[in-house]
Amino acid sequence: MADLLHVAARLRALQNGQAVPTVSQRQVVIQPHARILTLMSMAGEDTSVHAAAFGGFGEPAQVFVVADPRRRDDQNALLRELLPLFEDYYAQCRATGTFPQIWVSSTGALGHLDTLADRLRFTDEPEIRRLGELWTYAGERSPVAGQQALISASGALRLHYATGQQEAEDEHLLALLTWIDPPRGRDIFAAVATAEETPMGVKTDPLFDRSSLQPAIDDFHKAGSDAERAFHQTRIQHMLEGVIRPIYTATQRAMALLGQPRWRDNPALDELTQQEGDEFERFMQARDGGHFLPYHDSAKAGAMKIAARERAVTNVEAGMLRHDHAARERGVVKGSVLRGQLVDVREHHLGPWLFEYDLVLSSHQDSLHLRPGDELWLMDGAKLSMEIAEIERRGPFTWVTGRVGDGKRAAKKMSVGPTLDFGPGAPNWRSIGLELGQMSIRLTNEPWTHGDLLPPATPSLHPKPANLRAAIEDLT
Amino acid sequence: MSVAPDPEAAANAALDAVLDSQWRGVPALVLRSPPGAGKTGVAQRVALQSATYLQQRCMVVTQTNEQAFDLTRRLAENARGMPIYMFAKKSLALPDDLRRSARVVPVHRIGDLPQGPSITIGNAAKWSWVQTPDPMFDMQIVDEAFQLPDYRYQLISNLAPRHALIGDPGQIDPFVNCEIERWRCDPSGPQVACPVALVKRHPTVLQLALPASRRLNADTVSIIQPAFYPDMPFRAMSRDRSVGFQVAGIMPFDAALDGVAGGASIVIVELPPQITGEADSELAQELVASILRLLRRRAWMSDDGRVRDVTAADIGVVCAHVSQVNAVRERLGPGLSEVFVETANRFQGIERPFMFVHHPLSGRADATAFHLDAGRLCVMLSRHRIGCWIFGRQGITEQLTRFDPVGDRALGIDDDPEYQGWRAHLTLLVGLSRANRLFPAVNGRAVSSAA
Repeated sequence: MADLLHVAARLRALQNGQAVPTVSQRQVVIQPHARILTLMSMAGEDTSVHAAAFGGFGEPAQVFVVADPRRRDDQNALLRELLPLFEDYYAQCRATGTFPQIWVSSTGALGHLDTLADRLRFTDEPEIRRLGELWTYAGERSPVAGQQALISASGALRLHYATGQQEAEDEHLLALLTWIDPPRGRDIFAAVATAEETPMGVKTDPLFDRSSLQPAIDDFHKAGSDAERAFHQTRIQHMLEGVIRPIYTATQRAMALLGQPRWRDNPALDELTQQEGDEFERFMQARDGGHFLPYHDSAKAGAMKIAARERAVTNVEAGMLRHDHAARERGVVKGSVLRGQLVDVREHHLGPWLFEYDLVLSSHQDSLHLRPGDELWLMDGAKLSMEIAEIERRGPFTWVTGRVGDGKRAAKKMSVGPTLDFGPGAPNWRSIGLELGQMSIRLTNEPWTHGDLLPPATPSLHPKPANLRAAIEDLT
Repeated sequence: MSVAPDPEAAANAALDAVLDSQWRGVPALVLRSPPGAGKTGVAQRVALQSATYLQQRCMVVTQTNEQAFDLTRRLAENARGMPIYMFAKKSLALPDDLRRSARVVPVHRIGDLPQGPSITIGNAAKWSWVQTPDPMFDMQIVDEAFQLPDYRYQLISNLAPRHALIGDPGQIDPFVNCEIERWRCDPSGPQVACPVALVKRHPTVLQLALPASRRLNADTVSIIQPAFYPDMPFRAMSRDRSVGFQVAGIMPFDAALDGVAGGASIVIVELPPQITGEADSELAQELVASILRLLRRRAWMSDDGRVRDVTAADIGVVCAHVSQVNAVRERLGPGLSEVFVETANRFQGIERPFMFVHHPLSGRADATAFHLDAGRLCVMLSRHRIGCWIFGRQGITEQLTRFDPVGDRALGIDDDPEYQGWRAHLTLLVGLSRANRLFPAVNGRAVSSAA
């Protein structure tokens, strides 16, 4: 409901039998060196890695398979093989002053990686722990607004397209790709149904498990010789490669689609790139310093993380409204952006060399999130702010009057007629650092309220009035 | 918990317990209050006691500047002529009366804070920017504490060793504008209202409750208490709250006005069903026309024995969204400029004799957690002293029965806010329908059957 534009786009997609682009600019940063990571767990073993596919954008996958991830040594061997791939990639990114980016197929795969990272950090093996720490960067960044470290292909595509199916159904990457690029001459729903038969999640198909995988694993365990075991290992490898490669390929397709030149540059992403690079360097410095990554946050860490996340949301929204055309239009529809025709510029002469300026805008927006006292900034051109003084309905129009704060010189030169957009101020990523610095001072000493010990009561030694309530009432 | 037979005696006993707890020097007090129980008055009394009889440096934390102004105004009227310090940024424009008051002392720098027994008021954000890791006060009072998330409370809690957290647990939960999945399973997580988190960490802190509402009348309490405070019994203290009209009702909307005059303190006015989204210009127009009709019928009101004519300043309008607030405001015109229109979030702590409510689910095709939120609806339906008209599109009950709360609960967390909101909405609508409190709007058709 909040995004009627998106509802309309979905209806259009349903009508056309093909997904509809909802934006013209790219919504995610695509690192040219990004890595695709596809992991498959064993059914019932959510924190296992049965198979992994890894590779760069446009590169074939390196596939790693273990016959049975429940065998701890085998599982660890697979994870140890993955470690140098990430260690090298992170080191390259660090050396070039950028950040690593990992693409997974879906939100489910993203959650799987995050869970794995938490689990692996607490194993006994230093190498496995290290892999968990490196993955934790991606996992911890993933819920933060504007992050570019861990991207789900289905999520990224959904930022660019609307399909004619339920949003939850868009999580199946191949089905989503089918909506975007449907086979010619075929009913879209039949094509999507076919696509959905290919597993795109983190687990294999139950029927495949029963009929193929489980018997093969049983055979592997029953093998009487190393040669027989190796044979069954290879058999399982082939089976799982048949499952994991299509997911890896679909993720590559998603990246290729989003890398097309049809998506115009989005200046809002420049700041996010810079921010992600800074975050990555901070994370790695903390690892160099041996700082522990806990499973549960202390009260202080929780406070700092939540404050940083809130600031990130504000900054991302402000940046997108400023630079992203679709976000701006959504803002106009929702009323977070005031779009109006400048109908008057009033100059008030308050004294020698002292002027104030009022801008009067006429808007025909149905919905406006405005209050007197709100500060809005001109979203294009000169740096100009105004404080809303008056909002009045005149027939089908809303007249908004604002007193200019910053940018009086620009206001003086304005003439009536143009349509202007006003909204929140420019993003200020530096403010996160300032706020966290201040929080660090405030939280130097843990308050008892957030510790384990409740201090004892300390009765007052002052004389207490006989009729306490009456004495206090006399004070009011 | 048993309810004392006389609401006033029970309220006095609760106040006695609160004041006495400070002489015992308890490290923290959590005081739960139903709507309109006078919690700000309690905060005022605890602060005065702290700075006078207990000889303490007392800091008072509010959530907004408006709340700080209101509390400063009250405290500045103290009988001893004690100055009240307002800790605020220099650019903050104080209301004229506070600016002129000799007893209100603005403080902008930490170094200028008083050193002896005193009361200093500031909002939570301002306090969190104090650059010292050490306590600076003896006592900290947090007003509207259930609006303060624990991580913001943590930033100010070590400014004083002893605390009184006062608030209404039935109102809107703290607003945290980011993804919080990481802490969902933590009942004392950083996103949780600070009194709830404090009690989870330290279950033995003193907890008290105010047992009576001074604002709400008995009819409203009979609707609000079971729907929104099932675990916190309270009663109405008022005995005489009524409205009447000098001009007899002849217009279609008069039936809804007369319903309130007949003793039904909360009624629903239904417009024809329509999916409108957030902005509903027809509903806004209807609401404003109804306010005009209330005034044109020359209404009078009796509020605990004080009888007088109703004016625009006695009326409030509360909506879920800022855009809805704007839609009403821009239609009010200069003649009704004293009607106070705001969102539920900003209406917390504010009351009017008469309230007009834009139902949060009106005109929607869905029912999201935001719109189902029991706290939001509770705020909307507990701002009036005498009468409340809820405006909405027909079909909200059907919309609710079609909707399945997803039950997205977290392990270790007892609350299911979405289900609680859904239940509260349905309980209210069915209750009002059964009591024949549904009226068609002026241009309305038949009233929907809500049961």
